[in-house]
Amino acid sequence: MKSSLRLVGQPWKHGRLSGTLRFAVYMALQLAIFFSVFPWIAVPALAVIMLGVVEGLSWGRWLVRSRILLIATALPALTGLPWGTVSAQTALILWAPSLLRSSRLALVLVSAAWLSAGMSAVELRDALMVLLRPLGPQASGRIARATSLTMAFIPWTRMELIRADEAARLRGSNPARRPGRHLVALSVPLVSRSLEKAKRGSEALSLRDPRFGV
Amino acid sequence: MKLEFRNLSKIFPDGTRGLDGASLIVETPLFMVLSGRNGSGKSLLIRHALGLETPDAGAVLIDGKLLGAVLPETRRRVALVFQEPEHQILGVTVREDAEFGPRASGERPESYRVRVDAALGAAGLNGFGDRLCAGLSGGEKRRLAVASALVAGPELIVLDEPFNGLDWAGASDLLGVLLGLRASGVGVLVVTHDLEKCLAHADRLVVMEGGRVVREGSPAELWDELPLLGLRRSAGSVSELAGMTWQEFFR
Repeated sequence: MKSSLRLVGQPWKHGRLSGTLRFAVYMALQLAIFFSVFPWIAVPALAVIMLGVVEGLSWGRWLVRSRILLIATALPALTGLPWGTVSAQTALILWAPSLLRSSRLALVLVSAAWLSAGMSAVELRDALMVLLRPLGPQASGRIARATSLTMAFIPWTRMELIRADEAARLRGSNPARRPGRHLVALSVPLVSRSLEKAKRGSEALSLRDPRFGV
Repeated sequence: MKLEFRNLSKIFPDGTRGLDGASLIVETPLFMVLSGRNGSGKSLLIRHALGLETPDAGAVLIDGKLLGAVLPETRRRVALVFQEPEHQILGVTVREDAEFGPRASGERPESYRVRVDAALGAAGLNGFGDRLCAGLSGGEKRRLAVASALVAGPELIVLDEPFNGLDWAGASDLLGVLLGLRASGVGVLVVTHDLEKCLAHADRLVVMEGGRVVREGSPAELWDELPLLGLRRSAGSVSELAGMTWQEFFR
């Protein structure tokens, strides 16, 4: 109750949309991204970019930092290039579906960057609880618990990734020279530790949640 | 409560014998230390108490009833603190983690808020409620795991290697918490090979070897045998240790 009052009562924080309102805008953007076609997809794109600019988010810096992810989002468009078509108009018609797919993927990343730039994980969970309240306390409680568990996993995964990266570098792995080999070196410990963490986590859940696994 | 392990045996798929007819009775309230070399089956034994492992032979009894028949109730009465508390933390903030159990049971906040505050206080985490779990030190994480376990009001708290990775200050804080629990009537079962940090305060010492309980008695009774059992004991005599308060011991 206290958190919902706080979230509803302060929709703007330091010149930024915050709490439930921010999350609701984010959800509206997702709907717009997934249901818009060309050229209307430009509307949610412009909206999220403008929101970021108004809040002082540096999109240029974000583009540089996220370049690898953005290259990945461009893959559908690249693989769908209509080679050897007769006219530009036909090519564009053939290319549109894959281009739309890439645009949606990129906009999902852009909107997530905007959301996380102004909202902590705890605020996100609180906002989710407020929005899910109409589902009833049991369902909303379960979803909020699942979100909470997932969020508790994120800092752990990040720390493990840093540890694995440091260990690999100390043992001679060079991501600049051999990025593929470095990724493999990271993935093995990360996957095995994640499996161990998942096993222990499910044990902890079964001990602490009487409705789980008994 | 009376927790009884009766002739437990466990063989792993690769043929390793984890437990080999282990029998032990734990009756609360008491401060019991379960010790033994690495691989002697200590952690495996206590995992059976909460149904995290199923024995190939033997039985676990709670107040004379088979564990399978009273498992949900047992998980409320017996709390386990993992060797790696990190795995046990299920909340984003300290308060959220401590509240996880009652929230999962569908309790209303007004019914558990006082209990959660008391548990955080007992574990020395007053004022930590809004801190992120990811930012806690190793000792604080372990105390949070203890606090979260205490919220359910267990009759017995089992700690697997609780002093691992803690410096003397952290271990001293944790031992203080455990002795406070013991004084308030909660049973404490500490699984450790680090006897120096807790033996002086134990009511009973149990030693395992090769998957079975080989010795059981008071620390004074077993003091001279400890090196023969592969366990390191602190300098001095057990009577000297027993005469000390835990603060004196750590000093």
